[in-house]
Amino acid sequence: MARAGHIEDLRQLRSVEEMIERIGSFLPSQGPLRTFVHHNTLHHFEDLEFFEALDEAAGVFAANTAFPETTYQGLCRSGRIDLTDINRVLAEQSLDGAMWLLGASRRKMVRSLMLAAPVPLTAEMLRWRLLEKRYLDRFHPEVSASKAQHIVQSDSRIAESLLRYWLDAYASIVKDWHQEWLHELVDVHELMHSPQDSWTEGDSLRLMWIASIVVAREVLAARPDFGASHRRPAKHTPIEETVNPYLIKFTASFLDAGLAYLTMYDRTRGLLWAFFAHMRNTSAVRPTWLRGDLSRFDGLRACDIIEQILRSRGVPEPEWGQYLLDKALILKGWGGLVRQSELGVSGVATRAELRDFLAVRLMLEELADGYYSRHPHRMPSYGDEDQEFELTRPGLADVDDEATRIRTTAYHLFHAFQLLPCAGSEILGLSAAEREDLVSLACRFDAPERCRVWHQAYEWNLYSRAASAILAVNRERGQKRACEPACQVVCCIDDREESFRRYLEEINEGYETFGTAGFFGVDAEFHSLYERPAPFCPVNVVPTHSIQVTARRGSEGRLLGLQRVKTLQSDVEMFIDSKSRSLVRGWLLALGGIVALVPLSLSTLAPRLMHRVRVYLKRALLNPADESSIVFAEEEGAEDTGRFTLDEMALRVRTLLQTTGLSRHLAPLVVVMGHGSYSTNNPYRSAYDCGACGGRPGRLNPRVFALMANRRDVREKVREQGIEIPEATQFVGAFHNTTTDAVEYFDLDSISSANRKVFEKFRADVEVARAQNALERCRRFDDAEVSTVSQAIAHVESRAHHIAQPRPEYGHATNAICVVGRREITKGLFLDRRAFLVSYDKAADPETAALRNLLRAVIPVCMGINLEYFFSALDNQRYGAGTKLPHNVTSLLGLMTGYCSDLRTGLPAQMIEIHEATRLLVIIEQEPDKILELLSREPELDRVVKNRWVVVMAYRAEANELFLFDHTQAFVKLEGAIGGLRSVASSLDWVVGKKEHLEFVRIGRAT
Amino acid sequence: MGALQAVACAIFFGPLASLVVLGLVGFTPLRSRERLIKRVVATGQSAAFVSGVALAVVMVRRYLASGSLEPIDIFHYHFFSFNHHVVEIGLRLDLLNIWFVLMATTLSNIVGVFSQHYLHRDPGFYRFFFLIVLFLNGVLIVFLASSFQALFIGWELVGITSALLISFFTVRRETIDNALHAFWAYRVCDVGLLCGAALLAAHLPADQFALGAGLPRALPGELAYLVPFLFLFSAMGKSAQYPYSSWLPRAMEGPTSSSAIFYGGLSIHAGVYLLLRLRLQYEVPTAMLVATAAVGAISCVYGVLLSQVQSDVKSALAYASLSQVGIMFVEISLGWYYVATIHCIGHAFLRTYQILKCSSIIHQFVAFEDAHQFDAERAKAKFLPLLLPAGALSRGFSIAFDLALRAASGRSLLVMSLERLSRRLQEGEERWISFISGSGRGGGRGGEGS
Repeated sequence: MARAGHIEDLRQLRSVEEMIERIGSFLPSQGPLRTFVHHNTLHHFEDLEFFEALDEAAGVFAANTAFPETTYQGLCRSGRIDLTDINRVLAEQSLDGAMWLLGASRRKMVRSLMLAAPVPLTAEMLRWRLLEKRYLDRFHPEVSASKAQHIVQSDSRIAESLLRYWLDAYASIVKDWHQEWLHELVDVHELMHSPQDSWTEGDSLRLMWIASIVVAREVLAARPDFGASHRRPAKHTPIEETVNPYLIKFTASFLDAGLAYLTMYDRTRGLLWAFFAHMRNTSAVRPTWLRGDLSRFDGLRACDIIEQILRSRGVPEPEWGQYLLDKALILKGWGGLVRQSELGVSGVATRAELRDFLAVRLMLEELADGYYSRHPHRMPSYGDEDQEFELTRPGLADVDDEATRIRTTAYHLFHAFQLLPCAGSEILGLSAAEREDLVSLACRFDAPERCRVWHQAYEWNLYSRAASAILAVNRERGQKRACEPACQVVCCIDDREESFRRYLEEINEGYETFGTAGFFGVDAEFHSLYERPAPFCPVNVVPTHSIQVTARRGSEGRLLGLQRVKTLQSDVEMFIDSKSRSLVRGWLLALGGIVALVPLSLSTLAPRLMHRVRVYLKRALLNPADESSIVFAEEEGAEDTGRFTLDEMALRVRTLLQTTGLSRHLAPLVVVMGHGSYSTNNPYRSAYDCGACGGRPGRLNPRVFALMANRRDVREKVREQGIEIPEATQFVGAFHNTTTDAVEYFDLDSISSANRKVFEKFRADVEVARAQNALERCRRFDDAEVSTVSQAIAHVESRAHHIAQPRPEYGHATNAICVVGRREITKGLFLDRRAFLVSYDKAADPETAALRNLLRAVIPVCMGINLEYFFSALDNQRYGAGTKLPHNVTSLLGLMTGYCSDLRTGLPAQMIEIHEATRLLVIIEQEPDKILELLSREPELDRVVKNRWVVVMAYRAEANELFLFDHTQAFVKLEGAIGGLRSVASSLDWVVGKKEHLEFVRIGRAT
Repeated sequence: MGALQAVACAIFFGPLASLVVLGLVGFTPLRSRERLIKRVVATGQSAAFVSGVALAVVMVRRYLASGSLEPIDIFHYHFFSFNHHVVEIGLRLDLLNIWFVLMATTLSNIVGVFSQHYLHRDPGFYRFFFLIVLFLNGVLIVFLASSFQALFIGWELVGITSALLISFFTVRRETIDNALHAFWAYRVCDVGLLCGAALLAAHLPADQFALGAGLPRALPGELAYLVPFLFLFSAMGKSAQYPYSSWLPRAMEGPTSSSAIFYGGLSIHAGVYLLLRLRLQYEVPTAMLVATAAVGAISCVYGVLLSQVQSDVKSALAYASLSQVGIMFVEISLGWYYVATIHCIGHAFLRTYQILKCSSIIHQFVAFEDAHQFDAERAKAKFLPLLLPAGALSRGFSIAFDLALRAASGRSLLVMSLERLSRRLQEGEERWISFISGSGRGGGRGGEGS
C-alpha cells in the first residue's frame, strides 16, 4: 500500500510531461454537465487511508477535513452523537477506561477536551466570559453539587508552598500581556490566606484557572500549533489574478460546445496553437498587458515552454511539480475540464491538453509580470491580503499571537477540567512526569484529531443504529414464508426506490421487490428516432451492442409527425434564444416580446397547469413508447453485428434472475422498473437520473429486458442453463420518475388475459404507493405544505415543472447504507430512503462469482455517489459547487459562479443541505471469510475497503450475526445487546409531519 | 376623481407599506419566517399590480372617449424651498408611464413568486426581499415621478439596490469587486441627473411632467444644451451604453432572479424612460439627438458583437440586453416614441424570461441535437461564417474577444482608488477612536480592570 504522500511522489518526477500527467489526476474529474455521473471527489487519493487522504487533500485543496468542532458538539447535545460512540472510537485508538490521572481515565480526559469549547479568545472576550458571565464564580452546570463540594473541600486543603509556587508561575506568564485584570482576578492575598472553612467555589475556580494557564503553556510549548487553524487558504498573487479572466474566457471559448455564435476559427490544432493565433491577430482594443512579446516561445512545444519559464523564474528543479500543481489548482475546475477533454470524454466539442493550458497560463503570467514591472502603479491591490471573505469557522480560526493562543487553550482546558471534573489543586499537585503525560495527551488530541474522533463517532452512531435495527428486525422475524407472490417488481438499487418498494410491500403482502443495477444488464447503445445514439449503461462499461428503436408497423407516420412537432418546438426555442442576441432579428423579437409574458407567467405562477396541458397534448397526439418497437437480432438479417444474439440475451436474463434470487420462484407478473427524473431549468438534471444508465433516464433498458425475457427462444436457452421460467410468467417494462413519482409502463398489449387482472390490480396499487411515496418525500421539503397524498402528488409534480425550483428533488441526499443480500433481511424495516438495496441470493452463488461481479459494479457506483455527497457536504465551497443561485452556464459544459469564475464541480449547496456526511456502510449477506477471499482477488475493491472509504459488514442470516471489517483489517463480530426496535403501524404513521432524519423502525407488528 | 386617485395611490403606497412592514420585521426574530415575508411582499406587489391594471383600463377608456387625458396626481408634496428655489416632489400617472408601471408591477410580481421558491432556505432570504421591495419602490418612483427632481430619488434607490444585490453573496471577493464596479459606474453617471435636475429646479420650478398640448417645451437658453446632455450621460450609465458597458456583465453575480429583473427587466430600461420623458417634456437640440443615436448605434453594434463571442449564458444575455437598449436610444432620437415604448416593454418581458430560465440552456441544446440527429450539420450551419473569408472571421473574433476581455480583465483603476480612499478613511476613523478612547492601539484597550 502506498503510504507516501502524493506530493512527495511529485518531487521524484523529472520530466515535465510526467509531472503534468500526475497533476492532471489531482484535478476534479467531472465531465460535461449534460451527463452527470457521481464519482469519488478524491478518487486520486484512494490508495491512502481515508482520514490520511482527507488530510493530504486538505493540504492540496485548502479544504476542511471535518465540520467545525462546535457542530459536532451541537450534534452531541441533540443526541445524534452518543458518549458510547465516542468511547468506541477512542477504544480503537487504544484509549481505555482504566483509571489514570485526576481521578479519571485517559478516555474521559479526551472526551472532556472534546466536549469543551475551544473558542478563539481575545482578551476582551475572555474577560467577558470569565467576569461578566461569571464563569469564575460558578462551576459548569454539568458539575454536580456533590462533586463541586468535594472539589471545594480538597482545594481548601492545598499546601501553601504549592500555592505560592504556582501563583508565581501564573504571574510570570501573564505579566507580559498587560492585562491587569488577569492579575486582579486571582486575588493572591485572599486566596493564600482564606481559611479552610471560607473557601468558596470561586476560589476553586480561580485555582483551576491558574492550573489551566500553566498546563496551557506547557501544551503550547510542545505543540505550538495547538488550537490553530490547519487550513491555509490559498492566496493568489495579483499577477495570477490578472491572468485568470483571460484564461477563463479563452478556455471557455475554446471548449465551447455551441453557446457562442462566433467561436475561434480553428480549434482543431489545440489550445496552444489557438492562443498563439489569437496573440498574432493583434487588435487595437487588446488590453495593454497582453501586448507583450511572446516570440521567444514560437514553435516550441508546451512542455518546453513550461520548462523554459520555470528555469527563467529560478524555480529549483525538485520544486517544479509542486509549483506547477499550485498553478493548476488556481483554476482547478477549468484545468479539470481541460484534462477531461484530453482524456476524450464525450460531449466536449474540441480536445484541449492540460500541458497547453498550463503553458498558456505561464506565458500570460510572463506578460502580466513584464507589464507590471514596467508600470508598477497599475498593479492591482487587493486590499487586506489576510482578509478572507468567508464566514469565520468557530474553533478553527487562526490564532496568531502567543498570548491569545495560551488564553484560548487555557480557556479550553478550564472548561475541560470542569467537565472531568477535577480540582485545581489536584492538577497543580501532579508530579512533573504526570503533568507531562497530561500535556502529551492533550497535544495528541489537537483540533483536527478531535474532529476526526468526533466524525468517526458521528458515523458510528448511524452504523450501530442501522446494524442493531437489522439484527433486531431479523431476530423477531418468523421463519414462515409469506404467501405466494402475486407480482414481483425489480427496481434499481437506488436509495430513492427504498421507500417506493416499502410502500408497495405495505400495500400488498403479495408483492415481492428486488433491486439490481438499473440498466438491467442491457449494456447497449440505443439508436432511436427521437434521441441521439447514447450508451445506456454504467460509464465504465463500453457497450458493444446497439439496439434500434423504430416505429411500430403502421405508426411510422404518426411517429414522424411527433418528431416534426418536437423538432419545430426545439427549433423555435433555439431560434428565439440565439436570434434574440442578434441585431435585426433580435429587434423584431423584442418588439413582439410581450408574447413572452405568457410562458413567463405560466411557468412561474402555474407550472402544473403547463405540465397538464403538455401531458394532454401528448396524449392527444401519441405516446412514442407505444408507437415504437425494438429490433432484435434475427428480425432483420442475422449477420447484423452489434445486435444481441440469442445466447447473449439468454446470458443477461439468466444472470439477473439468478443473482437477484428471482429464479427461486417466479410470479406470473414480473415488473422491471427503471428510473429517471424530470426537472426543468436545472443544470444538474442528469445527476438525478439513473447512474447505472450513465446519468441518463433508464426508460429503454427495462423495456428491452422485459422483451428479451418474454421471448420464447430466450426462455428456451435459459431453461437449458437450468432456470425454468414458467409459461405463465410475463415480464413488463416500466419507468419510475423519481421527481414526480409517476410510473409508466411499456408494451402492455403483450400481457396475456390471465395476467391482465393481476396487472390492473398492480397498477392500481402503484398509484397508491407512488402517492404515499410522494408524501414521504414531501416531509423533507421545508416549503411543502402538504398533509394528504393527493396534495403530495400535486406538490412533487409542480416541483418538477417549476422553473424557479432549485431543488426539484433531493436526489441521493441522506444516503448512507448499502445492503447486498436478500430483501428478506431488510423487509419491514423503515430505512428512511437512506439505503441502496441490492438483491443478492447467497444460496445460488456458492462460488461467490456472482457476488464478485455485483460488488465490482455496486461498490464503486454507490461509493461514488456517497462520497460525492460526503465531500460536497464537508466543504461546499472547495469540494462542492457552492450555492446554485448565482450559477452561470458556460460553454454548455459546466457552471461558473457569477460572471467569471472557476468552473464549479461537485454538488451545489441545495443538493446536500439535508445530507449527513457519513461514509457508506455496506452490509453484505455472505460469510466473512468468503468476502475476504473475494476481496483478495479484487485489488480495486480491496483498496477502498482496506483504506476504509467504505465500511463493510458481513451478515450471517443463520445466526443473525453481523461482522464489522474494522481497523484491524479483519471481520469482528459485533457484540453488545441488540436494542429493541420500535414498531409502527405503517410508514406513513411514522413519517408524516416530521422533517428530520428518522430512526429506523419496524413497520407492522413483529411476527 | 377621488376613487381613481385612491386606486392610483395603491400603486405606490402598496409596495411602500410592505417595505415599511418588512423594515420593522427586520428588527425582530420574525425576519427568519419565510412565509411571513412572502405574504408581506406579495400583498404589496399584487396591490400595485391590480390597481395598475384597473387604472390602465379606466385611463384607456377615458382617453378613447374624450381624446385626451388629464394626468392623475398620486400626491404632491412641497419638499423645501430656499431663496426663490422651490423643490416639489410629486407622483402622477399619465398615458406614458402607466405602461411602464404595468411592466414594473407585472415583472416584480412574477420575479417575486419566482424568488420565493428560488431563495427558499437561503440565509439572505429576508435581505433579498427587502432589497427587491426597496428596488420596486425606487422603480415606481422613477416611473411615476412628476418631475426630474422626484425621479432622481427613485434613480438612486435603483442604483443602490442594484449594487447591494450584485454583492448578495459576499463569500467571494470578485463579487464585491464587481458590485463596486457597477456602483462606481452608477455614481459617476448619476452626477448628470443630479446636476440636470438641480438646474431645472432652479430655472423651472414646479414644472411637472405632462403629455400633449404645449409640449415639448423649450428650455431656457443656457439650459437648452446642458440639461439634455447631462441627462443623456446619466441614461447611458444606467442603461450600460458604450463606453459604460463593462459593469453590466459583471453585474451577473447576484441570484439569477435579481439579475433578471434588474438587467433584463427594469433597471436597464430606466435610461430609456428618462430619455423618453426628456424628449416628451422639453425640446432638445439636434446635436443631442445625433449624440443619442450615435451612442445607441455604437452600443448596439458593440453589444451584438460581444454577445456573439460570449461563451457563458449570462454574459451573452447581458450584452444582448444592452444592444437592444442601444436600438431604443436610436428610436427615441428618431422620435419613434411608440416603437420605443413597445420595444422597451417587449424586450423587458422577453429578456427577463430568458435570464430566469437560462439554466435550462444545456438541456435545450440537448433537445435540439436530439431533434436534429440526422441533419446535425445543416441545423448547426451558420450563415456568417459562409459569407466572410476566414481571415476576416478570425480577425472579427479576435477584436470582439479582446473587447470582452477588456471589460473583464483586472480591477478597474477607479475601484482600486475608491478602495484606497476608503481604507484611508477607515484608518483615520480608527485613529480617531483610539484618540477619543484615550488609549494607544493594541492590547491596552481592555485594561480597565474589574
